[in-house]
Amino acid sequence: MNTAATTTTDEHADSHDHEHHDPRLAHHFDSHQQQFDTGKLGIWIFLVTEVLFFSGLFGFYAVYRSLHPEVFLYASQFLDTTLGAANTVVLLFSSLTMAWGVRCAQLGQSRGLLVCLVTTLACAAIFLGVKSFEYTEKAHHHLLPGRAYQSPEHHDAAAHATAADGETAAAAKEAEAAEASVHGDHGDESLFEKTKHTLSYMTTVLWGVIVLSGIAFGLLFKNPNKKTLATIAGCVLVSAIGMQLGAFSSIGYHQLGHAEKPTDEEIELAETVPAEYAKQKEKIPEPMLARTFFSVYFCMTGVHAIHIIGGMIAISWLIVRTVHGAFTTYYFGAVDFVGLYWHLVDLIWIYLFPLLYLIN
Amino acid sequence: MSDHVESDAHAENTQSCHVHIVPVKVLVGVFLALVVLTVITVEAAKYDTGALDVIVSMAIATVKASLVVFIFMHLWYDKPLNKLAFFFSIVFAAFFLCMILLDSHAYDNYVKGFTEDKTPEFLVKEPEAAAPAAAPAAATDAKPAADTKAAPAEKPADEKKPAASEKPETDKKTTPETIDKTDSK
Repeated sequence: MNTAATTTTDEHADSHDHEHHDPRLAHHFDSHQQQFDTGKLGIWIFLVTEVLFFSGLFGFYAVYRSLHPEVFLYASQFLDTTLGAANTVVLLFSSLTMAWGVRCAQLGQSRGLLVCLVTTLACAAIFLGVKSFEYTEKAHHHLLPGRAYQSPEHHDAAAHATAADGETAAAAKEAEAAEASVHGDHGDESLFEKTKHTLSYMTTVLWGVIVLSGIAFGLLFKNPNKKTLATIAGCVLVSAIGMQLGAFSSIGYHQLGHAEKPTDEEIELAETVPAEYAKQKEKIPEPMLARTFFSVYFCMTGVHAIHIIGGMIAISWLIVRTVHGAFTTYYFGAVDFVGLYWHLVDLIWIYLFPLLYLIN
Repeated sequence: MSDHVESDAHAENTQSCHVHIVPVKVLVGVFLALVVLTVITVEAAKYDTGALDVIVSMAIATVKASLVVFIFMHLWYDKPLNKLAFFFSIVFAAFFLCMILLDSHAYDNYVKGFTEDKTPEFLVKEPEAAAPAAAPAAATDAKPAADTKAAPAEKPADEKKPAASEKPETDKKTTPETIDKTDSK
């Protein structure tokens, strides 16, 4: 113990004498190996806290599903399995490129690392783009958590209610209000148009990002020291393009579904839901409880999306550092650690996808 | 002399970092396996296997997750301490979920009794919307009220027993009576 302490101080003094202390090695570490191992344990502990954090949400899900399985059966039909599966594959691919990037970093291939990181960032952005399409669509269908939720067949029930007229006044009023608000924009076509319209704001943002990154690249040409700024602009540009790509490919997919089969089960609420509803009428009290499914859905996917955004920021930071040539064969800890975090985010999606989308 | 050797060794130590590097073939293979498993889980969900559904999809998800954890996250080649940390996080998460699920059904009978006592509006709304005539609905409304008068009388008697046995009985009782009512009307 004692001897070890003396040798470390000796080495420390030694390195200071020689005046070439490695800036990549923090003062309190003996070697890069030690620094890497310490960091790795740290990131694993962080991942443990993440697992436990998400286990709370999974507990919410498990309790709610075990108590009300019919709500999940009913409500998960509003989630588009194809989009979910596509998102899963995109995220798995980003995981592959991240793992490949870690490999490149370990081998000191900085160009390969850069390509892998940019691909990962783009895939993350595509994931968010598809997710934003899904969220926008849900918002226009009023499939929202809590009070914002409106039952998709509410107007149908309201029509019955006004005929039967056996309810409390408050419920009837609520139903009528829902009918009034839904009636104007009910057709699936118009809802889809509204979704497209909302997403068109994303295009405006993309143009803004293109202009700003153009300015940043212009500054780079004038002054080569502006590398960091230009790289950040490039990351934002890649993210914006990726989101655009994701959103518009899901719009395209939706349009394709429209053209090919007019009664597509997952998407078209107008045709399918009354039939489904009629089937389940006796056993499911959905209108009150279905909103809780959307609370679960938005809570879990929302927290996951926040993690994706955090991961994108971390990956952008890695890209900036890679451009500056920070990583070598003995110093790649940051890449590995962000990679571990990214794989955990992927892992959570691997569980979320079947739990939310694939309920039969 | 000895000092020189020492510093040499030191330089070699600090400038290296020995880790396991996963070959590209393995990475791509794992990715393809993950995609295949995703396709399988989507296809499997189309077949109605009842309660087995969740188990199958969770089993596939766990296989996928372990592929990611062991290969992409290098946990297979990692230090035992990191393995242990992650292993215990999973164990405690599982423990947590099991405890929650054990507890969550403990009050089922009370909840059922409560819903029978006073039917919430969302339960009332459905049958009335379905039934065209108001008269049978009124009859069913009256019937649970009569039942619930009986139910509290029963409750103190078998307080010690878990109330699971008595509830289905009341269910059975209600349905024939209501049918009788509607028939007579």
